[in-house]
Amino acid sequence: MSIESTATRDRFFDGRNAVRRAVLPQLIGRTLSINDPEGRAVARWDTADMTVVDQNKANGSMVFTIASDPKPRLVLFDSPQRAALLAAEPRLRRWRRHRARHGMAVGLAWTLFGVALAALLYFGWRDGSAWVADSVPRKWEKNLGDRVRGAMLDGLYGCEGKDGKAAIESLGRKLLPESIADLPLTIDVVRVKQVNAFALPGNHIFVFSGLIEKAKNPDELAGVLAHEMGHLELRHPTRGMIQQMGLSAVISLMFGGNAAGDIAYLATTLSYTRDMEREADTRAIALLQRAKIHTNGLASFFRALKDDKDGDSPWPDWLSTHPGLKERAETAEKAAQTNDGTPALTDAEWRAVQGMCTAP
Amino acid sequence: MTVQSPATGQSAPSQQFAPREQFTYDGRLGELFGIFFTNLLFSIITLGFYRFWAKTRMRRYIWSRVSLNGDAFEYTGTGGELLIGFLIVVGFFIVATVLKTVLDLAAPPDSPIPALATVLFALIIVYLVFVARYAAQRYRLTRTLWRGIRGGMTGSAWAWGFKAMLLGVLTAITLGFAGPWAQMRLLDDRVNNSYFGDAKASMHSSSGPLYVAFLIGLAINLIGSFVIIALCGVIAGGSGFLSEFLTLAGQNTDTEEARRQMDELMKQHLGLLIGLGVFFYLSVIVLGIVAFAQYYVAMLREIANKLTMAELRFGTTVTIGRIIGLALVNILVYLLTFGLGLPVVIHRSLRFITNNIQVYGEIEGSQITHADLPRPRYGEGLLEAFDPGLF
Repeated sequence: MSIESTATRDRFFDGRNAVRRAVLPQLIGRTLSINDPEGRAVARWDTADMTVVDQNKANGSMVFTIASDPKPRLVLFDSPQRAALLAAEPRLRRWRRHRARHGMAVGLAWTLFGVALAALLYFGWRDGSAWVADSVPRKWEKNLGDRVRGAMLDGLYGCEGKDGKAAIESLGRKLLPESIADLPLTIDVVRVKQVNAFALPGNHIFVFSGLIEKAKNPDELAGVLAHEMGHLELRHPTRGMIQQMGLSAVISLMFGGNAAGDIAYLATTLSYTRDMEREADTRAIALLQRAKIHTNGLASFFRALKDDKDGDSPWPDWLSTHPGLKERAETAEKAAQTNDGTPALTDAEWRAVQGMCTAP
Repeated sequence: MTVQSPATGQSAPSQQFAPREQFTYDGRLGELFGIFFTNLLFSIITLGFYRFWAKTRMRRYIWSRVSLNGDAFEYTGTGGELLIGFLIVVGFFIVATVLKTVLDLAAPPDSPIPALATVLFALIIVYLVFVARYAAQRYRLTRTLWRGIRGGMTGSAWAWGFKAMLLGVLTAITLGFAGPWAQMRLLDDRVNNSYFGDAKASMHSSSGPLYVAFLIGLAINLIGSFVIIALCGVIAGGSGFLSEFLTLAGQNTDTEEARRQMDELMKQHLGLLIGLGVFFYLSVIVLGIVAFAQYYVAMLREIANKLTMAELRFGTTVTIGRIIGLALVNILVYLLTFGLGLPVVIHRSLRFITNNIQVYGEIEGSQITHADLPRPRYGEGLLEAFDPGLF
């Protein structure tokens, strides 16, 4: 392609209207005179003020503008005139590197800001939610718990065996710490074959019939109840719900979903950190000792659970929401030290509890 | 881009360039992959925060490689603008979530307030998505430059969002039959508020052709489904499964024995059942694609026929076969490469779009001047949160 024809491909847009002007650029000292084909100057740019907007690798054109008023555009194809411009102002040749460096700096600054913000939100949320849970009025906690309990009972078969219910509730009352005795305690046994038990805000405990079947003796049941009461006393269920309902809303925002979740199902999947579980274990041992009940039930139940795990159910089991079982069994054994006390239930009571889902 | 070199001897500026106004795309796959993988790398390093700059970088490249009548477009948006828009939305969500949680905790049991709040929250989100769609178009138009002149958009995103909600309700009430009409009214509004410089885009579309396509689509789905079900029945009948099934189903199914027999029967014909299931779903999907594609093509043709911009009119060469071909290959490429083939998808789509838009008329550039239409300070916000992020 001849120099002449490439030169005429150069074009200029003044930023005021959409007219394409064929131009011939001419470098005069530090000024680029942008001339129309008749030789009249359409614009005069100070080369020090010029910046590169873009470069098209396919056709070799470069687009320029001026930094002080970045509205006009000058498109130059490869030509001796452009080579002269780039030689006089080598900075223009390195535009890509400049832009990348600038982009990196801006991006890095924003990223640091974002990471700092995310960290602040995460830790603020984690530690803040404990604080919120502790300062939620007990009445609100009860409202929340009552609603979730109602929703759970709507969808599940509650076991109503009278003697069993009386026995497990009396065991519960023996274990219930005084600090949370302001609200009535409910223990609902429901017919689900999964081995699971969990606490809801406002002194509600759910025990699945699968757990009662799995338990070898009433002490193991007492251990689980005491553990859940430990959670209740430390207000873990409330903290967990605030954390996980809130966090899930944030996460679903990130992934483009909506924030509504099934509260009742969520309650069964609440999982606590290992620290929270350890705290509840420690409390459980203390509660068992105070109630003068054998203290090794919790540890032996952990050991029994450790190896077998049945699937096939929409309900998660106790294992999946209680990590680190082996270590915790050891800790619980150590904490209990001795196995003082009496059995949690009499043989007759234990049989009644075991028969709760079949007895009238 | 290949700008034709001037014919020998001619020097008048107006004759130096190709007279035919056409969209062209001269992007290179290699460059797209370069940008894509750098973007991916930085997005991973920055835990996703780079996405705003990644998107901007990709758009800059794409815009600059699409030209109309030999002059390339330019994208002038920045990553920071997108980030700020996003942060505003995140702030809104945090406030809304906290409010919602407090409501849930504070409401007495059996109170309807939490349920109402959930519905209200969902409605607000839907509304905001509509608002965001309008606002995003405004953002992109004001960040698009051609021949040194930028686009713009008038009108209120809030009002349009409200109208879109109302028409959405109308569409639902009429079981979808108001859909084509509502869709074109909303599109008309967006087009008639769009500007390039001071030149207004204009479109007064008719939903007639869309209703024809809508009914054809309905017929394809209904008749096709009937044929598929009949075919499944014939195949099941031929294998003897159907008669055995009906016999068993006719008996008392409440007994343990009947349930066992039924399980046994299912197990015997497991292969057939799976085959029929796969056949059924695949056929329904194919029907849906064909029905949707012919509707979509009718819509594109109507838009192309009715849209005018300055002195330009448009046409399209898109056909049902071509659009299905484009979509199917794109989906296959995307899935088989686990998303890493995205540049191929972008590349093919852009080539398809520019090849299938015809432009008639000539732009009288001197009549299009820069207009100071409002330029939003930050970008896309909510749409960013819901955007699949193709570009």
